[in-house]
Amino acid sequence: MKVIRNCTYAIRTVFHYAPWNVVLYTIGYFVPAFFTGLQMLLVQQIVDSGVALVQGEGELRPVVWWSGLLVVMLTLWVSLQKLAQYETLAIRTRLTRRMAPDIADKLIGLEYASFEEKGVQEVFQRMSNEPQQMVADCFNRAMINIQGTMSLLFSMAVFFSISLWVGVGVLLIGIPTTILGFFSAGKRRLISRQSADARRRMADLKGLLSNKHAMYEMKLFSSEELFTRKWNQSSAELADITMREGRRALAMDVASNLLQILYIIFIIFTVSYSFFQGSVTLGQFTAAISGANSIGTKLYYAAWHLSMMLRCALEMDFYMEFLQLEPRRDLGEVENLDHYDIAFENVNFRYPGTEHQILRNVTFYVKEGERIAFVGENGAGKSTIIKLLCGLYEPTAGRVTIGGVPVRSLSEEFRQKVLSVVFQDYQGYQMSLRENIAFGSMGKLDQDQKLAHALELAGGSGLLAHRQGIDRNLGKLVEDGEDLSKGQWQRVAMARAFVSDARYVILDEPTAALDPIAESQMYENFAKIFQERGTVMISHRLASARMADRILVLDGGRIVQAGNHEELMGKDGLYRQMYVAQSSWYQGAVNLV
Amino acid sequence: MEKKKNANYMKLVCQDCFQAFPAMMVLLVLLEVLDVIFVVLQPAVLAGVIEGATQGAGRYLIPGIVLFGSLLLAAPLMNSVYRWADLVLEVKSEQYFGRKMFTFSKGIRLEALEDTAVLDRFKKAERAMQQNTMVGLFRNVLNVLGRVVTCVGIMAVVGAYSIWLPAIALAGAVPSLLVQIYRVRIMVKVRRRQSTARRRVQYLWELFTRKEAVKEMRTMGFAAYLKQKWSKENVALVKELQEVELRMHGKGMLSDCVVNLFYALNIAATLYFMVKGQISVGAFAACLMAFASFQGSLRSLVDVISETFDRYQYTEDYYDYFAIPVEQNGSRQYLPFREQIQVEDVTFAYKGADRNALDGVNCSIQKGEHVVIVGENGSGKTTLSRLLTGAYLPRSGQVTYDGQGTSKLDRKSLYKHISVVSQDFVHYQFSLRENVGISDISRIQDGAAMEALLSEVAGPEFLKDIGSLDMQLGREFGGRELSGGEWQKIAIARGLWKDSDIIILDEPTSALDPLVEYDILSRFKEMIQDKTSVIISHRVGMCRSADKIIVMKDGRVAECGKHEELLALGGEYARIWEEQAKWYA
Repeated sequence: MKVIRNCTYAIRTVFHYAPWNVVLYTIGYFVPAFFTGLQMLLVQQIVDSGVALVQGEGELRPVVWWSGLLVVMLTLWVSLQKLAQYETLAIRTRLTRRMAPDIADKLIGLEYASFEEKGVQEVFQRMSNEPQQMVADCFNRAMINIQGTMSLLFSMAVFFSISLWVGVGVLLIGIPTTILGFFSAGKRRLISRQSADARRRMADLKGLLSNKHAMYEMKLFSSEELFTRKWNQSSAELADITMREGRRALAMDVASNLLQILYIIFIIFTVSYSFFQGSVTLGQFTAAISGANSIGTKLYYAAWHLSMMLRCALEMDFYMEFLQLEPRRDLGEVENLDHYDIAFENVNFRYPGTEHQILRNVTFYVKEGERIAFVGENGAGKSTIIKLLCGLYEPTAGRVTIGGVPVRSLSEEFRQKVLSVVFQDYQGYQMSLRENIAFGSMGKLDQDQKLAHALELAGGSGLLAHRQGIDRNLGKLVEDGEDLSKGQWQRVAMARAFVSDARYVILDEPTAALDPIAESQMYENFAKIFQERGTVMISHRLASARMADRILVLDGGRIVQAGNHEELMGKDGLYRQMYVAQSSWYQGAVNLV
Repeated sequence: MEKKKNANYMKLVCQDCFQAFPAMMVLLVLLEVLDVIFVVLQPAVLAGVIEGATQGAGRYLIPGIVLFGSLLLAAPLMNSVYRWADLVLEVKSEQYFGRKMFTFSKGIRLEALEDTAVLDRFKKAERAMQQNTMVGLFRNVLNVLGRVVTCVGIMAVVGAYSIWLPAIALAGAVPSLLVQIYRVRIMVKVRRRQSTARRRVQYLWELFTRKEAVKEMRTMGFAAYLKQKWSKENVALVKELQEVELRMHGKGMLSDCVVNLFYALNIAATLYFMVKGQISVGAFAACLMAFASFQGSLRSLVDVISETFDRYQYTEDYYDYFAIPVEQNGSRQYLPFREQIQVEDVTFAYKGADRNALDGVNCSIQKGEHVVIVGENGSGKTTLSRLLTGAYLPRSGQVTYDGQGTSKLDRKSLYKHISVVSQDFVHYQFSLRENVGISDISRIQDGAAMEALLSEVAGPEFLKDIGSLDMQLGREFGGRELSGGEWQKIAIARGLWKDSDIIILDEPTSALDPLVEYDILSRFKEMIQDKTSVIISHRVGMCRSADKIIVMKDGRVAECGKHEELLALGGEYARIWEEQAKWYA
């Protein structure tokens, strides 16, 4: 059922995006469906009229006619085939041009939660980076099957015209052959499903061998042996599964081949018998026995194509699943606010599909322009607060508002003007340095001065010292690109925040990869540059928190303390404990080594 | 030049295939030969049958029909054998070529992995391996040969009737073959030219699916820009392909018309010969069949040629992987270290880097000392630590253990005495036992010792939290996912599980919050009391009581000494210390 649904969807979609190409393709592809049968008829006529001619009973003219027709048909055949081939490509171009952007839109317009959901990443991966090609493949496969069936039916009709028995024989053999082929393909799918685990384990091991950190450990720990043992185990398991199910598939293939053999014997027998009886002419006889082979092959391929279609259609399931994903609900329309205070009111949060309560009854207010720092242990919920503040998730209960309006009711553009974020897992984009910085504020893409200034504030002006200056390519994707170190990428990411004019700058542990001097410079820069603007900072290096107007201490999803550095140091609480632990490295209480 | 290269890769494929599964290879050759014989014989036998039928010579008719029938039966029979061979070869070649790659990978020189090109080569080789390219190429070449021989054979059969017939068929086939070869070469060129753009398009698409990137796109608003960029490049790619294809189509159409024209000529010629009485009706029918077979063989030859070209490219990818440099090992056995490690005038540079990562480094570490290396990003701390372990070898100068240079040592014997906790330690998707025990597999079954170690490193609650030593870790295989701090504790336990003289810790706590960091480091310091240790850290706070602090700057040792000495010196160390300590004043 799914297969039929997916195939019809594919045909409908391709027709929708490329109607004329589909029409031409259909002509080029379907007319030749009759040619195999026709060829048999023509050969038969040529032989018969040739025989008549030789025996002095006929004329030359019909022989020439039939032969001429055969040549015309073959030429037409080739031309139509070329047409269909070309249209396949044209359809592909057209889908890339018109359908792919629609798919990208759908992807861009998904609710953010989808991206973090388990399983959805697999959907993205399996639908590949060219889903339109997948749909086109499914379309092609469906067409091949329809065409194949037509061609087969017509050839059978020709057989029926030669002898009823031959026709019945084709039918009797055709059905089980197709069924066997179908099941054999099913077995092969079963192999790939059953062996997925072993394959993933092998891929994981191979991944370790191409990872320099893992190789370093492997060499120093001499753990090759363990790797080899694990590899052999998975490899043997894979071979076992493949052999076991493969043998079953093989048995079906052999059975269908045996059927074919039976069929050929049957045809030769009946046709020869009819020929001796005189009810079949020499031409028909020749056509039938030389066509016997081709129709057997055709049946075999029909089953194969059917299974390929199944595979394509099932593969397309991932795409269908993608189409079902929820569209964004965070695109409000509010574009202006009376004030820009941030408020979390009794916010509870659980990630969709999980049990663990990340935030419990979190309430706090941030006045416009205020500098706030969140501190707390790993997993206390700091980063989650940022995601909620940016409207990436909807709170399970409670409200997150800016200027009294829920953040998800603001328009996306407006939200970008209010908030600018550097995430903990900031990305380094394998594009030009210019693009990398300008992503913080796309309007400034061509304002070299501003981009360079932002980079300077982030302490990365050294990156401009390059032949191509700001247009240098970062990353190894293009040949002239150069990869950056962790610390350098971080500066680029920070520059994105500096280039934006948003009212709030949010920094989620952005200094982890920086060395101490760079880190303290960065803090000083924050203080200087963000004087006017509000900042929300998360860091486990408490020094940064000292500069904040207010520090919020999170523990187990709750806010347990709030106040500025002096106030919090005055109380015996989590903040003081952490601060003492960290500063003790500098104050003589600890002798580490 | 190119020809010679071609011959080489093909030779490698044959060598490997015949070494790994000789019987199957012989079988494939045999099947191909039989296939050729059957296809070539068919028209000849058919001629006999029809001859018998028309001339009423019943004597030959029945055996003729039986013979012809058996020839037809050969195809499905051989198909079954092919299927069996497919299955066996799939399993065997995956095992053979996969293992070959796996085994080789283990010996690759560590420095080579710094080069991102190596990863690229790995991926390409892997792709070739998974698509079963090498066996595929062998079969393709066999097929090409088979088709060519078939065509020649058929020509010989019809040539027996008249020399004109093969001549005409051949004249028709040549342009079609030439066009196809031309087409394949152009396509290969276009595809190679497009490969960078294709990678970029793929990269851009992946950004739309990667949660970290999506998060930024949404909060900063550059999705539309990326989409436009992606779409433009993507369309340009397919458009170019289409244009090339269109250009080819003209030529292809023409050559196909030529093929058909000559086919018509062939039929006309046979007809003519028949009318003239030079050949019989049987021969005429046989010729018709032969021409059809010829066309079929020609068409499949053309298809196989283009597949062969593709496979050949992949095969190159596979074998090129084995050109990555492997570890060069010394022969001297390492003798347990008694006095000191010395770094003498060592320079080191990464491949492709324009400056030395280390540039004349001198320092020494005494047995039992606790040393801290500090310095800014990129000052060469981690590189120095890798030279200390012997995983990297100096370009000039030497690292010696009691006078034994690391480059002359059998590195395995040296590694036995060194343990590490590296900055980017690995989250093995294995069991907890293997995650810890991987540093010394010989004792991996000693559960009691491991439990004791874990409780010492991570606290008594840790193992209880996780469950058992045989708990699968990591989400990849449905195991338990750990927090960053928990993984870190495991990495430290891993470093200590190995009974070593020397332990090296690289930035062990950079991702931890203060309380966890404090907890881990205080436990750790107890446990390494009687070893020689080297700690690399951004946090100068760790240096206060180190026996020796090595301060790195721009690939050189800037200062070396104890905390108080260096502070008094008022140099680089004092500067770094001040910068950090002021935040905690």
